[in-house]
Order: sequence, then structure tokens, then C-alpha cells
Amino acid sequence: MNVLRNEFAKLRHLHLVALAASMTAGIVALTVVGTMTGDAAQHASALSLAGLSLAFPLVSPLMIAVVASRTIDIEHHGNGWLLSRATGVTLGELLRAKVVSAGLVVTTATVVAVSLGALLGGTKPLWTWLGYAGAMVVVNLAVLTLHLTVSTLAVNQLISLGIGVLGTVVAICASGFPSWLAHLTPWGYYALASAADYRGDHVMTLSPSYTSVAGLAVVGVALFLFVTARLDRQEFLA
Amino acid sequence: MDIVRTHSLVKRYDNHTVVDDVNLAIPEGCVYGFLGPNGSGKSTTMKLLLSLIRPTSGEVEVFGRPMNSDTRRELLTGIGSLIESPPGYGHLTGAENMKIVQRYLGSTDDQITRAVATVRLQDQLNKKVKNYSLGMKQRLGIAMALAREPRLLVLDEPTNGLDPAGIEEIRALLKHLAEHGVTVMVSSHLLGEIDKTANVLGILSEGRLIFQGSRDQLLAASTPDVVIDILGSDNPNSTAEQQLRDRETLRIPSVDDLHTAHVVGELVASGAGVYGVRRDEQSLDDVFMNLTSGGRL
Repeated sequence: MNVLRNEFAKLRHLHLVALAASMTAGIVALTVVGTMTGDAAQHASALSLAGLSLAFPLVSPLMIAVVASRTIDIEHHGNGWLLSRATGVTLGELLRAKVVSAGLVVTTATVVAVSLGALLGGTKPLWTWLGYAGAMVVVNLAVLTLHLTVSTLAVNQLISLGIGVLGTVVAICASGFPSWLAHLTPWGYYALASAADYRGDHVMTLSPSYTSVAGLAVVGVALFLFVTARLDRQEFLA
Repeated sequence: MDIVRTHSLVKRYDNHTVVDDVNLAIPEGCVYGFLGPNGSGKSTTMKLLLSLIRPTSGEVEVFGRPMNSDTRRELLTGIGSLIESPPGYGHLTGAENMKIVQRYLGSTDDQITRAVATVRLQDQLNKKVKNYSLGMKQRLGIAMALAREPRLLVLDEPTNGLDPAGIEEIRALLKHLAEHGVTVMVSSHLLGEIDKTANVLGILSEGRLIFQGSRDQLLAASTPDVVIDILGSDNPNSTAEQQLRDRETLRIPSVDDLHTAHVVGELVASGAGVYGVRRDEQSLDDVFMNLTSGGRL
């Protein structure tokens, strides 16, 4: 528990709240633009969901990469891995705590963005909005966990940020991918979780692929626990 | 009683042996100076003591108990350490850093206050660590190591990058800690930095412990060269002036007293004008340099 409290304490002065707020602002701004392109009177909710479904893959991957990089870089620069290790806290334990602390920031930003989108378009159908919010939280947390792990293993944070840029491209293009291809990377799930899309000039609501998102959650958690269990046993190499 | 013992400790990476059959014995309450050139395996040995890395073979015993993955968490509560560069989150203040350490260790506020006061950092605690000088960072790192009031303090080159005043300050601090019952193991690649502070010295060269004992034992254990002064000419007709002008000095390394007597006897028997025999005077620095360059006593 103290490890987790320390992770929240370390977030001070890192400007993560500002970063998360700018992620939310970016998503909402793009959603507002999206709602202006169609018949907002009749399809406000669908337009808002479509705007969000376009905005999340555009904004989230890179912003999450930056959040992860800032969270981990302080350990590389402050010799924090060694400090925690010398106090008996393992690398895996520290990484798990970081997923919780940074995850809370990203989850809050995601929920606020979807909530503002709902305010713009109306919350009906409510279950679609709740399902979409849940799906986006899962996808964003999966991407965050991946970036935190990469940032831990690769001292050079440009690698993680580069993957973030690549992820943005994949996330944007994934709506055009065949379904099997979209399943192969966490960024493909932004497309699989889309709650609305345009068919020609018409916007229509879709059912996010909850099974795929649930699969991502299960595989993501299993992989993360496997990797951190290995890190728990790993020697200190730096 | 020895607070740390290692038994035939070996650490190998692929085919490269970094620590080779090291048997440390650190008496409780002493300042143990752990010396060796850069790359001799000091940091690796210290990491082995803290169980940050696993030995290839051999055992580490701390406080009379084996240090391994089952016991490390418990044993670490009695050990403070500063390995490699001093830790510290630059974006946080000194006080916030100490709070983080306090939570990790479960230390009390009083323990933290005492640790900070020991390194005299109390007036700098509200500064962000990124604005600290190297000396202040070292002191913060030592305060972190002291936060649990450890029985054993392991410091890896704590004077690295410090100016002479900073080095003197660390020396005084080590003495102060030893006087208060803390066993200190401190490494350095410079003998002069710690020989005045350490009661026991351990010298590592190419991963092997080539000496362990007191300063006096180190001087006694090393064999200085024998220097023999001989008059220059064996021509019986040469004048005393010529002989003095052509005098020579023989330097013979690694000979004991008996062998020295034998050599001198042979020289005299062969008619050489031996007028002086002495052991070369060696400073502790000379001994250290000879040991570490040769890799043996």
C-alpha cells in the first residue's frame, strides 16, 4: 500500500493532470467538430459517439505514451529502481503500482472525455454510452500498460514515444483493417470499440465489439502479470 | 563478531568472472574500507551483499544469517545503502524524497529528522533535488540510507565527484557513524580517501580479494624491495675516489630477510664493496599501487 502511496506522491510536479486534461480537451474539441458535420438535431447522440470514436484514436495513443514516459523516466533519472530495490521493493511491484497510479489519471481523463461527449449528444441510449466508456477505459489502460512496460525496459524514452506515434497511425488506420488484423495490436481495438461510424453521409450507431475488448483485457492482464512476475525475479542490471 | 561474511563468493557474466572466490569478513562496529581500481568488482560485490544480484556460487551472510531471496526483505531493514549514483527524484524536493523513503521503510518522523540532521541537510530540504549540487545529492543519498537507522551502512564510492571539503565532510560523517555503533562498508578506488577513516581494509583486484586486514597488517604483509649499495669497481688498484664515483645500487624485489643475507654474503664473497643494505621505504599508497597493479601481494 505504501508503494502505491509513493507512486501518487511521485506524480506531484510531473504535470500529468495537465497532460490528461489536454488529452480530454483534444478529444472533446474533435468531437465538437464532428457533431457540426451532420444533422445534430436528429442524430446528436450518434454524431457525438462517432466524433469520440474518431477522436480517441487520434489523440489517446501519443498522449498516453507521454504520460507513461514521464511516469517512468523519473525512475531512470533518479536511480529510483535501485532505491526501491534496496528497500526490498521489486521492479515488478513498482511497475504494478505505476499502472494503478497512472491508470487512475488516464481512466479519469477517458471518463471525463466520454461524459462531455455524452453531454454534447445526449445520453440516449445510455447503455451504449456506458459500454463505450468502459471499452475506451480498457483500451486506453491496455495501451498505457504497454507503454509503461516498454518505458521501463528501454531507458531511452524516444523508443516508447516512437511506438506512441506508430500506435497513432495504426489506431487511425485500423478502422480500414480487416477485423483479424485490428485484433493484433492494442491500437486496433480503438476501431473495434467504435460506437458509431459514417456510412456514406449517414451516421449510425454500432455495437462496440465487447467480446474483443474483454479478450484484450484478459490477455493484457495475463501478459502484464507474467512480465512483472519475471521482473520480480530479475537481477538489478543498471 | 563479523556482521558480514562471504564464503567463496563468485559472480560470473557469461565467461567473464567479475567477483572471484571472495571471502569477506567485516567486523561489527568498524569502518571497512573496500579498495580497488575501477572495474575491480567492488560495486558488484556490494550488490551481491545487498542481494541486488545473485551470486553464481558462494554465499553471503549478513547479521549471521544467509542473505537470499527468502531473507533479503527482512535483512535489508537493517542495511542502509548508497550504490552507484545517489538516488533522488529531481522533480521533488528533498523533503518529499525523504517522505518517499520513509514510506518505503516505515521509518518514524524522528528517524527521518535524525538522518537529515546527521548529514546537515535540514536547511536545504525545501529545494527541488534537481537544483542540488553533487555534494548535496550525496548527502541526501546518505540520509536516505540512514533513514532506517541501520546496523550496517554500505556506501559505494560516496566521495565520487566531491571537492576536498566534501570528501573531508564524508570522512567525518563515517567516523561519527562508527562512533555511534554503525558498521560502515565504504568503497573507493583511492586509498588516500579512506585510509584515515577505515579500521579494516579489503583490497580487491581483478575480482579477487588480495588483502584483508588492518593498515599495519597491510604494510607488514607487503615486502618492500631490498636495496644494496655497492662500490663501483672491483679492480683492486682503483682508488677510493674511483670506487665511490662508480658506485651502483642493486634493487631486488620480493626477497625475505634470509635470502637477503644470502645475497649480501655472496656479493661480499665475490669481493664487491657492499656499503649499504636496506629495505626500500614504502608509503601505503605505494603498497596499494603495487598490489593492485600486480594483482597479488
